[in-house]
This record gives sequence, C-alpha cells and structure tokens, in this order.
Amino acid sequence: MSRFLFVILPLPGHINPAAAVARNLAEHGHEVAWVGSEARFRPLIGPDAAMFPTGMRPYRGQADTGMTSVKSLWESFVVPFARFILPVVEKAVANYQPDVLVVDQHALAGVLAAERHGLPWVTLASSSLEIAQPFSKMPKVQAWISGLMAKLWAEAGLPAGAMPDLRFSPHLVIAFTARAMTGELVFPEHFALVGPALSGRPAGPDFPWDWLDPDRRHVLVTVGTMAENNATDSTNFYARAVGALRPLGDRVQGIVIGPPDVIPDPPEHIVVASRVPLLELMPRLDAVVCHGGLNTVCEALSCGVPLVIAPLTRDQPINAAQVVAAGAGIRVKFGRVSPDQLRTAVLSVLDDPRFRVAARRLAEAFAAAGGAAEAARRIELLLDAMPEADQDEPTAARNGGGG
Amino acid sequence: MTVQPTGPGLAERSVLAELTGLLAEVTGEDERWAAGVTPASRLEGDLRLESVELAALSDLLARTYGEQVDVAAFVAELDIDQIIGLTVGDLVRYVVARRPVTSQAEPGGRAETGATAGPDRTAGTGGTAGPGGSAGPGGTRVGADR
Repeated sequence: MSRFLFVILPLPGHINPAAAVARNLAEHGHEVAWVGSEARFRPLIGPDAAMFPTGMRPYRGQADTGMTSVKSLWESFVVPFARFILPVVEKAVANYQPDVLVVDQHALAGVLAAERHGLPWVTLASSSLEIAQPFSKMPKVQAWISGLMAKLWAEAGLPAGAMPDLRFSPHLVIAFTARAMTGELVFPEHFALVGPALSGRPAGPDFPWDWLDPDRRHVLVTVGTMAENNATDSTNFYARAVGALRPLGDRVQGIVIGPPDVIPDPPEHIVVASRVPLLELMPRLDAVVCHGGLNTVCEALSCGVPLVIAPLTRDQPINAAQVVAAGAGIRVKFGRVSPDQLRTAVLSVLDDPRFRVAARRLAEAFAAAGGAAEAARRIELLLDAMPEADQDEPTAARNGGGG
Repeated sequence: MTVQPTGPGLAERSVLAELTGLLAEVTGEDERWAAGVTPASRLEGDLRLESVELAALSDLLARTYGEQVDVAAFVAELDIDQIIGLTVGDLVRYVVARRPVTSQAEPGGRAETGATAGPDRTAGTGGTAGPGGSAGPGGTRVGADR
C-alpha cells in the first residue's frame, strides 16, 4: 500500500479525471490525499477525501485568446498559483509523507515540493496544450516558459542547472487523450495516453428525462467552465447557437448548458440549464456543440457523439484540429460563425453518417486506452520500479525541509 | 526606357492591399471588414486571427510572393510579446523585405510553390517528433513549416 498526494488545478475539467484515478488507486488499497480549495474540490472528490485546504484566489485575464491567453495563463495563473499553494503542498508532504505526488501539468508547486523532498512525481495532463507541443518550433516562446519555471525553481531553493521540464515528469506522464486523437505525434515510453477518465463520477443533477422526445434528435450546446467567464463572448455565442437551432423544432431538441437568464423565453424544443447530468445524458445525444475543451470533447467522443467545435482559447484549437483530422466533427469560427453557418454545421454532423462512424471509432480507441484504470496501473508499475521506500532512512528534507 | 515604379511607399501600399485581400480570404470576412484593416491592426487583438488562419495566410503569401516569404517561420522566431503585438504593417514590411525584387512578383502573379502545405495544415496534426522529458522537446507545430 502506498500514499499519494494529488496536487491539481481547482477546475472541474482537471479535478474530475484526477478523482477517477484517485478512486482506482483507493480501490487497490492505496491512500490518497488532496491539496486544494475545499469549495472547488469537495463536490467532486467527496466529503470523506483527505484534504490539505488552500483556500481560493481569483485569477485575472483567463478569458483572453491566442498568444495573449498563453501569456495570461502563465503570468496570471500558473506562476502565482504555484507560489500561492506551495506552502500548503510543503506542509502536506511533511505531514502526510506521501510516496508519490500526482501533479497537474500546470500545478507546478507539486513538482517543486516533490523535488525538494526527493520524491517521485507523476504528471497528469488534462489539456492538450502542452502534450501537443504547439510552441516546439517557437524557441523564444519556449525559452520564456522555461524562464518562468526556472524562477519558481530558484525561489524554491532548488539547485540551478538541475531543473527538469516541470510540465513533464521524467517518471510518468499520464494524458487524458488517446493516440487516435494525437495523430502523428510520437511520445516517449513514459507517456501514457489513457483516454478520458470517466469512471465512478458522482451522479449529476436532475434532468427532465421525460422531455426528451425519441422522435427528435438531441443536440447539446456547452461552452465549458472557462468560457462561461467570458460573458460577452459566450452570451453572444449562446444567442447564435439558439438562433441556429430555432428553426429545427420539428426534428431537433436542444439542451443548452448556461445560466438560464442568457436565453430568456427559449422555444419549446430548447431547454436551458446551468447544470445537467452530462455523462448520463451523453449516450442519448446526437451531436455536441462546444468550444473544444479536452474533457467535453472526449466525453462526447467516448459515447460516439460527433462534434461541432468553435474553439476559443488554450488547447481548444488543437483539440478542434484533432477532431476534424479524425473526421469526427466540424470546426467553426468562434467569433464569426453565424446562426446559419452553425445550423449548417450541426445538420452536417447529424445527417452525414461519416461523422458518427468516425466518432464511434474514437470511442473504441478511448475504451482500448483504458482510462482511469490504466492510469492507476501505470502509477502502480512506477511504484514497483522504485526502490523500497520503507527501507530508506527518511531524509532530513522529508521531515520538514526549509522554505 | 520605362522607370519601374518603386520606393517603399508604393511597394508597401501594394502589398498592404494584397495582404488585406488575403486576410479577408482566410477569415471569410467581407469587403466592409477588409476596409477597416490598417497597418496598425493587430492580427491577434484586433483582427482575432486564429492560428489556423495565420497558417493559411502564410501559405497564401508564399504562393503569392514565393517561398522565401515564410510568415509562419517569421512568427516562430518572435517572442511572445512580439507575437501578441504583431500588426498588419509588420507583415507588410516583412513581405516587402523578403519578396524577390522582380516585377513578376506583383499581386496576382502567384509563384508555383509545389508541395507546400495546404490550408488543411492545422495545429496539432503536422509534426512527427514528440515531447521529450527535457525542456524544449521537439514536436508538432502550429502552422509553421520550414
């Protein structure tokens, strides 16, 4: 039996797959604890999970797009978040004495604490942003990111020149995508692409199941938790999406995830809800319209549901390109798509069976990739390959360490 | 003897007009939108150019002015603030500096470029090398093709 400390970003799309992995590890008799905000984590990891609470801070600029969003991601979120939670991670490592840290790719404090205490760490990648290496041919952008990481490394008192890439564990990188998505990319052996980790998620909220008409097809519209913050843009997108579905009442029912006040008086065939039981609903859907966050994309594809993607920021354009290359969806322009264009795209993925065939192919690939169970298996293999930790003398650093 | 119309002003105006047309083409926007494009327009902040659109623009410019005009490679060498601040005028100056100095390379005279990337080359699908365990691993790229 081993002890794992999870250090994950306080976002549902990052917590949910990590929680699925944690549940698998717990089922195998291991112990798991979390570093994070009680308010954000509790609803998703359960009331009994061991937590080292961090509290929560607002982070600016997370609605930007393009390279501006990459800059704000690092300068306004990744770096300050690492500084904010590092003392809690340090305390958790000292008190909980984990054997391994399981660290979100952008929760760099987990890596710093692991390295300071000489502990192995596993990377969880719940976004395609780093895995797809979009900046690998942009040396100055790469150097800028490395410089930010080096600054955190130095602040943590770690030796200059010995820094690994904090985004990619040298021991094990688990990515919640699959080779059927990443195409020609080649990964080292210690990268495990396990597909989406959906198992064991707590049941979602109620839904008016009787409202679903078996004679009509069902289209879900969601912009995801990040984009919802981008109020102007997403309100505008909701309006265009509803405009796209409005004339299709004879054959389509639409489910729009969003605050009900953004669409006053929806027509009979459209329901607006701020939360829906997504995983339970997914097998009954015929198409999903979204911004292309990796979780929504993989949740839809794992049920063989084709997509219309209007990518906005971060890894969304990468995911959209991968889905289009796999033939499982259509990409539209987030800022520019008109209701007519959106309707044409939705009708294409509904009426052209090739999209559904391609989506089902990806569903099979995801199932074969193994999900959370495979992630847990790879982590246990890493434990087997490690020297017996119990026989080692605890190091001074492990019993407290400076900071 | 014919005097070739040259000078930075004229060359840049001509490239600006051509570039604006290509921008409208890759974004699917209309003439009204194109009329608002100026040398000071930022590709990202003002025109909301997406990465796949920039890749498509790079391909069209290479076909128009020859392969030595490689906007994707030009952008790849910039730092993050330069990319964020990149304007239409920056691209015009780059094209004027890099295009062949012949009267053949005028707008409309698209050079043959053989098997260069088409507009289907999109983020995350073009490369072969994967991320390694160290800083700066090789991998795919957004549109850049050299």
